[in-house]
Amino acid sequence: MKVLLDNITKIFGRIIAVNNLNLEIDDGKLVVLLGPSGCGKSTTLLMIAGIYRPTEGEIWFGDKVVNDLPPRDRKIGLVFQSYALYPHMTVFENIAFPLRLKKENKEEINRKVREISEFLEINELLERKPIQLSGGQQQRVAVARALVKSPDILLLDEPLSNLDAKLRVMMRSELKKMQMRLGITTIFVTHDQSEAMTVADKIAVIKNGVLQQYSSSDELYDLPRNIFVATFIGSPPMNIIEGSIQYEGGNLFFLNPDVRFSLPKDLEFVLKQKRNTKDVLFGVRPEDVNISMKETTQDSISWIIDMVEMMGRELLVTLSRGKTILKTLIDREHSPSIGDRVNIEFSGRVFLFDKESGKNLLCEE
Amino acid sequence: MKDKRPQGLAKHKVGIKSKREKRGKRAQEVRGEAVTFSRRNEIISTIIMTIISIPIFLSYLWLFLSSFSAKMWHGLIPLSFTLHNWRFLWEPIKFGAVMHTSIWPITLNTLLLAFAVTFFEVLISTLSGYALSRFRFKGRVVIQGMTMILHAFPGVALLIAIYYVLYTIRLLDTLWGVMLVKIALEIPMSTNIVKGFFDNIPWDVEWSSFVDGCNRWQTWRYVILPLLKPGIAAISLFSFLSGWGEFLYIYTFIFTSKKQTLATFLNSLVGEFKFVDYGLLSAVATFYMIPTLLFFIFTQKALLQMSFGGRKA
Repeated sequence: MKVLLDNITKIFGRIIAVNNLNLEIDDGKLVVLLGPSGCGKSTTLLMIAGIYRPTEGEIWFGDKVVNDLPPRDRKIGLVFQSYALYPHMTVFENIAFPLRLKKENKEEINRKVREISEFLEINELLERKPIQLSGGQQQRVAVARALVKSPDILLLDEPLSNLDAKLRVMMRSELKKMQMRLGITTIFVTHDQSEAMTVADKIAVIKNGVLQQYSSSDELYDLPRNIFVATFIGSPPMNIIEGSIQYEGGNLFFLNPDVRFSLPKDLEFVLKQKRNTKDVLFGVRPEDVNISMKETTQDSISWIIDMVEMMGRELLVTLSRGKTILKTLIDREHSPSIGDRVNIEFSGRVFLFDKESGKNLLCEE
Repeated sequence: MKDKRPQGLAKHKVGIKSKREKRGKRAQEVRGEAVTFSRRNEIISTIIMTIISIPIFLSYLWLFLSSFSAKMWHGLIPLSFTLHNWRFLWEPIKFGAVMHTSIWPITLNTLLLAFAVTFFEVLISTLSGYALSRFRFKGRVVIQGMTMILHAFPGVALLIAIYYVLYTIRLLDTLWGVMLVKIALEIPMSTNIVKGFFDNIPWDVEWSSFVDGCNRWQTWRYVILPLLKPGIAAISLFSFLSGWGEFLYIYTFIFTSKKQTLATFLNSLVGEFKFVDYGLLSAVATFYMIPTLLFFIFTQKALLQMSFGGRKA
């Protein structure tokens, strides 16, 4: 079912938790609400679930406004970070609970519970109490309970955050697989950007209750609308350097007391229309910075290696030049050592953000 | 003489070494003991607890036995079996000139008081505990603080004031009046207990039940109530015991002997005569204990059964 949030605002006392949020979630898609904790993403989810009532705005399921519909009539399944299983009921009773409330007959309930628990591979655990289950098993039970009544929409509130790292990676791909198989419209809340990138069809990045960007993972990575999205997405985060832009002899340069980069031609064209912008933030992702021992070219004069961190397949190298710091991910074969002087080259895209508004200067308004 | 010193030194060294070894061994032994210590500890604590509880157990045993015996050897060992002491169950007791009323209406009074206090306390404190735990309203903190203050007052301090209040609202010399006072004075504590239990039920669980299809009543019935069971058991036990054992308010506010309860009845058996019939007294006392024991047995399981699972942080 298609979900539409139309100018949603939620105010708790004096705190504006969600501010004028507009979001359209297509049928059968998995959309992630992503943001740091306290940004209003869970509040948004609870409004969609019907537990909170929006202060302003309308929530549409399909072609119906559901603002006044209680949670039980919304045909949704909900999984909490804590799983919120009923501790006094067995796994079977937990999963069967929504069906019992719908007054379905016993055989039907048995059949459905068996089916969903086989699907999620928890059919061996049906007689246990939640406290006797591991975190991963509890999570599956919670998902089973959410799915057993065949909801139109599945809501997941940080469903993987209580699992250990290895299980988390496994479960997120399983959740994605399950979602695609069932084709169920899913809204997934998380603060983990890598989790969001791997499962989402589309990601809504939220900060302080305001939607920052709503687009696919690729676009979020390649064309962040502002500095917040740029630094929030990607790990390790994008390098940001303060400075200004200047034209010299028809060429465009980024300058600060320590560095001087010439900027690509295609940036020049865009920036010419915003000539009044002078103070900028320069951004480049660590994986797009290459280091070399070659002779200096004109704008990449030697940097000093401050720190080398082992990241597994790659090395995270911290470079400095004066007060400017730059991090780069390089192959292990380089084997740099601290104190070495190196030169840098940008192999990928560079970004420029307005210093005041934080907006990406390369995005159209 | 020449090589004596080195020898001595060597000996000394050996001495040190063996001491060290010994110390090491001792440490090992201590560590070894630590493993078995818990079992020994268990035995010791069992013995200590047994010793402490023996006098209590013996006095109850004495009470029970003496209620069934006509004569006690030195007041300690029962000699012959009789049901004479239990005659209050089927006939009114006559002591000198005073004819005591039958025990059954008095028992009924006591039960009525105990159950009424239990019922209203559980009802009111679960509702108020829910409100204090779940709703954010003006004056919530003040109310919570005031319940604590009220709880801190000893009931005796309020005796005269309550007497006037009961007199004014014409509830003096009625069981209803005593009930009202008991309930009012005990609600603060039980409310606080219940609030603690509600605080332990996560919002997520309640919300989940809404999404699963519960209305408010069903959430209360199927999710909250089962999780609240130990709390309800606790407050109903407390309130039952306090209602059943109430003496002071009955003694002060009730004048008609037909309206008294077992506690004051028991008192009157002791108080009114120079010669106390210990056999009768112990039989009545045993009779007085039965419901308490039963109530405790029934609530004990719920009291011990605390289940807040489904959560792994």
